[in-house]
Amino acid sequence: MIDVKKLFAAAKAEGVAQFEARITSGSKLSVTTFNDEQENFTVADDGGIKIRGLADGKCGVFTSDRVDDEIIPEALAALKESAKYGNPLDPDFFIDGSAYKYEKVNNYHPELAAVPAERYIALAKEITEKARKKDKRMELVIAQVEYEYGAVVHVNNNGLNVKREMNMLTVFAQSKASDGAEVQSGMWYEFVSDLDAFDVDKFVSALVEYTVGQFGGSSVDSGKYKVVYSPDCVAALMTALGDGFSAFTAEQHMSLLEGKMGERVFSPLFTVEQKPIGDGPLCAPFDDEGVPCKNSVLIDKGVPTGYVYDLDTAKRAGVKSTGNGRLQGANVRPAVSCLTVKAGELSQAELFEKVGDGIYVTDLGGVGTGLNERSGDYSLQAAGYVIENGKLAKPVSLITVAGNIITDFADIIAVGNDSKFTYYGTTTPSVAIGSLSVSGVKQ
Amino acid sequence: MQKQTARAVLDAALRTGADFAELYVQSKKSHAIEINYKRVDNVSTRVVYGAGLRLMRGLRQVYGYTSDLSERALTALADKLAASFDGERSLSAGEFAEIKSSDVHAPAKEHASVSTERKIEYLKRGESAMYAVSPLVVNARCAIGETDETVEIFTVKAGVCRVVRDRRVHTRVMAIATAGKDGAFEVGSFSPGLSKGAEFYDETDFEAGAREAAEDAVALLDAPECPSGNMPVIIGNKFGGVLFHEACGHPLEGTAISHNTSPFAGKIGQKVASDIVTAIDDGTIPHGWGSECFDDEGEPSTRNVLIENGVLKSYMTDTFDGRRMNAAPTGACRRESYKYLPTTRMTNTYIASGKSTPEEIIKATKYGLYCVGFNGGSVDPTTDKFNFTSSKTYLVKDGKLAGLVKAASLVGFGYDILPKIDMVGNDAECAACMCGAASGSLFVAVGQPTLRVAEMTVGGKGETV
Repeated sequence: MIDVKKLFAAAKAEGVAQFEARITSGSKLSVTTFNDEQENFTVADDGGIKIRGLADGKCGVFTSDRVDDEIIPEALAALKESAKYGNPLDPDFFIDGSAYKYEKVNNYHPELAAVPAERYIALAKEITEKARKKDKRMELVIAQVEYEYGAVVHVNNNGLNVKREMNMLTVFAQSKASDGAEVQSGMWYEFVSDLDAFDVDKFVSALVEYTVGQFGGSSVDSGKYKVVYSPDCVAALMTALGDGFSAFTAEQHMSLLEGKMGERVFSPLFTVEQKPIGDGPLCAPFDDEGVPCKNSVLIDKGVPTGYVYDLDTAKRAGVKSTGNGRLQGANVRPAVSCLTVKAGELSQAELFEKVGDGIYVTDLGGVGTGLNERSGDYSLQAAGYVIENGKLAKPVSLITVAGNIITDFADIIAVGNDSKFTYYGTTTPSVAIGSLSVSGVKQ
Repeated sequence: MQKQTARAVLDAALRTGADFAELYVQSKKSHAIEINYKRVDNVSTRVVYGAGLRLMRGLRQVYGYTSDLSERALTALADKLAASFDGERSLSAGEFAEIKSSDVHAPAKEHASVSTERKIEYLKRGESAMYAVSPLVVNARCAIGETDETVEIFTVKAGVCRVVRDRRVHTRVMAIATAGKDGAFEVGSFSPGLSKGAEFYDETDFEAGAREAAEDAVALLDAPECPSGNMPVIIGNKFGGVLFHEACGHPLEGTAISHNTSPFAGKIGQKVASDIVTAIDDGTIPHGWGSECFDDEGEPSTRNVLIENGVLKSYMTDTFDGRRMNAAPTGACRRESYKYLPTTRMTNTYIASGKSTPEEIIKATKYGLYCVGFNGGSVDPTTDKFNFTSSKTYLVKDGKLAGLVKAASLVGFGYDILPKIDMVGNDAECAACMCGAASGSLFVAVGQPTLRVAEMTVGGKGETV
């Protein structure tokens, strides 16, 4: 492990006037079962360091997985090279550690850390066994139970010395089902903070229903439809909305929310909050500049309230940092975290009833490439169910949906109460959109 | 890594009956230079440094990794992993036979032989070329990505005790133009890369590529929406190969085959594509973006003909998946870093050239799309349902190009599309991209000639055809 005092002394000796180190450590324990066999078992203890500093008034960075004293000369040489071409930065952005108070987050669970590996192995086996027994069409099930621990210590030469740590358990399963004529695949996941409260039967039911529910799926005629997006689909689309709140993106006139702050842009049913203070796995008391994070409303009943700031963009705008600084390459840039779409009051069944006739989309493919975060336009592969007379009627597959996140979220006609913390890091319920272009495959 | 350290670690790991033990030691330096927002925005270095220890016993595999390369930490890891098995020792580590890689992909010029100042000047020429295209270009981002990596892979298995050392050097340049008008934005990009050193800069016409990226972004602003429906689709060469990568490459990886989660499982010798389709995964192409002398379990890279004249000939296989498949590894076991359990992955995967010229293919198409730029895509290997996004797309009418249209997604089932390829061009070329899957994000090349799929489903926002 690196000697932090030695690192700071070496930085000073090298003329790095302002200096900070973010030292990370983590561990992992992962179990995978393939049908009834335990197939993989992974353990890891790992770490890393990111240093940032000012040399001749300009900011440089260096990142390494190697965290020992031998890396110090190379790290400082690389930081100075980075700073030589870096951007000037206000020395005050290496903040005074006594100037801030931090709120508490609750995402380290000591009881989770004490769970023995054997229990994870047993859980993974239970999932594969139960899922295959539940429906004879479930041919293959692969289950993965993964425990992760991570800690960050953020230290600078102005007295900042803060630490955060988190742990979490991810239960993930994927499946293949066959009825002799068709093959379907499925997946389900859940983030777990209390293993005793984890309902394995509910998890297995969700996986099996998701998988076998797709049998007999057909396409639909191309045209405009009312669409209900599942929580995972809403979260996928929200990935493009996040950058629109960055004050830096706004400075470049590349925000899709430019000129829209304070205006009624979205449906009044659409409220989005940022909740870094809480108990979610991604919650954090401070950002990458050591500034306290705080909860805030980003879209209030359809009205975007303002941008998020790091220290640099805040200074230029004459406002305070919102605790949204995130280190990207050699620069800190503002970025939203822990987005939460406010839940409505309708259950899923009531949502479908409200829609009457339409499509319930449970799966969007190609989000990484088919969603343009500058314009908000998207054209994505989709699958789900046809909604007829307010009820799910039959599965639908191989369709594409095309829209724009601004106009679609303006056209929200109902919001569900089925909020879920998704693997996109966003917590959201299902939402119903008034009209979307759907393209179907000719069968 | 000292041989005696590796020997001690592997010997400790083998004590409970593992029949395969491997110590993968990685040291990688990535250097990024980026011009963005009309300034030098990022010059930074990242070091990836650590080791992964993998044991197998029959059809069980255990893996551990750490960035602490001391013998103490590695032996502790070996003990932890060995505790997963409860058998008697069947193998011991002996003297490692040294296997060195050839210099077939070696750089002609080291990255450090060109100064950072010169690289910045190089990028600035691309930046100027982009802004000169039109005042509608609102941002020009130009970047260089250099990586220089050395891996040492110590392996002990029945009859084998070896160490493979392989150096891998990659260089890539990127120009990404954003054009904006009336609150709408479009993006054009140019991003070639090869397993080469600084000579790559001299060999690449960066300014021309950057200019074209900007021209594409501007042209897309006024392009009409892409029609939707089922229609013939001509897919351009180079990055058009993402079609095969998604639709066929992933389902032919040993991970999907060995678990019977691929529609291609059990179909060796069967017709899976039209007669004019021959597809190859070739990790041996000199300086190919996805090339390496050895894969990440120390097996030599191969040229693996997957489909020949429409008939399925081979899968991509690694040691672990090969145990279920009763097949030998094909040099296709890869991982992003020591933090990933390696598995079967593609290298440079492409469809071989056919006989038609691209002009003949367009001329033979009454109505359809000609897709020459792609953002990428994804596939579910189990169902072979794929999608990819065409970012530079022309409408074809009466055998002629009839103007650019906006982005569209192309979807389908790989096994359904392959037999529908009815024309294959004579202009096969590869393009660099990053492929993200189970063992991380990897350098892979995709490639093909211009080819036509008789009918594909297109999801556009325009009128339904």
